[in-house]
Amino acid sequence: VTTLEPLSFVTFVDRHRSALLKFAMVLTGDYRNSEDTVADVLGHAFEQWDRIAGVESPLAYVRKMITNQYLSTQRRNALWLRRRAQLASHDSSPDPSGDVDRREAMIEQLAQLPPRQRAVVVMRYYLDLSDVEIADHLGCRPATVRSHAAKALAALRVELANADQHHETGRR
Amino acid sequence: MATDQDIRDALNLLAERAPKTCPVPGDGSLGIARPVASRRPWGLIVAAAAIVLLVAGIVTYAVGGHSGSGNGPAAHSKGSRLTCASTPEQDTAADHDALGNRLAELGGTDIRITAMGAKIQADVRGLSSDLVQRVCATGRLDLRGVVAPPVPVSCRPQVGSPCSATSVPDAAKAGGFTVPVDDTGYQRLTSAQQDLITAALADFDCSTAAAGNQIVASYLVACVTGSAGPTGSNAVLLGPAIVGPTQIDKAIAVPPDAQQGMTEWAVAITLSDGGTARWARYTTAHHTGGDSNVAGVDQCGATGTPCADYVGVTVDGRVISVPVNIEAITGGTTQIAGNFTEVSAKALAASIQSGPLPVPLRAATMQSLP
Repeated sequence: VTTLEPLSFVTFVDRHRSALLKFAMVLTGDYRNSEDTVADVLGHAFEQWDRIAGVESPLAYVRKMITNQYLSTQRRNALWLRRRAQLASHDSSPDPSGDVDRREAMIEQLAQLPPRQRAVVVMRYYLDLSDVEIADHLGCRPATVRSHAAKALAALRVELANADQHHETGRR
Repeated sequence: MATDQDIRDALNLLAERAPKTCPVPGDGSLGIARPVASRRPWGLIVAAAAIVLLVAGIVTYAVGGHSGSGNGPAAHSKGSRLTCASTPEQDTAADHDALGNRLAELGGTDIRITAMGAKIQADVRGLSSDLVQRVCATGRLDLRGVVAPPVPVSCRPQVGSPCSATSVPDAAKAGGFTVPVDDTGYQRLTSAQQDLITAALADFDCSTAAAGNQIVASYLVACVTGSAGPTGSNAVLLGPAIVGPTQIDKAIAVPPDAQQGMTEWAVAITLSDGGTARWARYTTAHHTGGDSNVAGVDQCGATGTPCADYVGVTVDGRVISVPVNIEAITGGTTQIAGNFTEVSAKALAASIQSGPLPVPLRAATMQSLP
């Protein structure tokens, strides 16, 4: 006998836990912080699950909750995290291939970005969202998203031509 | 100078370092909120790779699903030209937008729809032909309460001896009752009257089952194929649609999830506010009270599980599954299993998403484009 069931909280968590943790990790850049953020957000989501199960995309909704949680806690932790990133940058060991070093260097640079800029970068390059989708996610205008992205890319010293090209051809 | 690829690489490296699991409130029993930090279930690590693949698929849908790539084995660069014909012949222009939306929803590119009187032609790239040829289905999904237990169909239509000699309404007329539209109405009938319905169902011709948009009746006789019995089909009497196309806001195909005991593809539908309210009313009134260990619908009524606890999921007038309601469903999302393959689940989800075709079509020809 097959059964008819709502998208239960347990099913949602089992199905999306891994993606949510990865998203939180990429967003916060910190193992413990991502674990705590996802646990906190899932706790809130559990309390209002009846409503969330009915929204168009529960996954997008919960990701939005994670982003908000990150942005609000990051404001408080910004100074400490930036300092810690500087401390951490001293004890990385060299990598013979150079690839990992390159990625590590980028991870460190990403850690220096202000939280909203980082959120935009993560949504654009990790989730592959369009500027309009990112604007909806962050509750701001697409022009603001583009401005955050431009500042972030400048700070990361990413070749703008290359980045722009991606963005025009990337998605619908 | 760095490139945007460096950003992607760095973010993906970070993602690989994500915790594999985290404490979450609730477990199989739900309803009991637990302290957030009380549990660290590490058991999922082994399956992490599988989950990554699965989640990647879901994310593609959740963020739009139009990228064309990453949509699984259906992606090909070659083009297809599908021609569908209306039955009975009528102007197909009204189907133009819905067909285009379906192909776009499935991830097709270079879509061109041309309405040519009674026929309509769809050119598309990037989709497999078995996916494309399903887009002409009307795509009408209804959820209807079961009125009476399904009956094995014994009639085999032959030239000169058609089935449905006595239809359900004919049987009702003969027995002096109106066709019941819910299981309490059916229970009120005398056993002789119930036998008349059973006989009419056994004589039902499944090949003539109502299809497409003609399904407007307050009740529906539909066939469940692949069941036991002389013809492999059961006929079942269903009540009025609890939820129909106008109450469905969104539909997505959901991949199997072995962890959840979901071995096949499913289609998840999100209901509109009105649909959610109707569905909540029905499932609140008719459910097994949490018991998932109940007999199949064939035994409904007789075994103590009322027929109304079962819901017939019909697509274009055919029953794709008859699940049982376990509990009241007050959220707007419901997952439907129905022996789906990846192709059939995606095609159905895209069809529901675009809304049923105003003019019923059948796929006529299919050719590949260079």
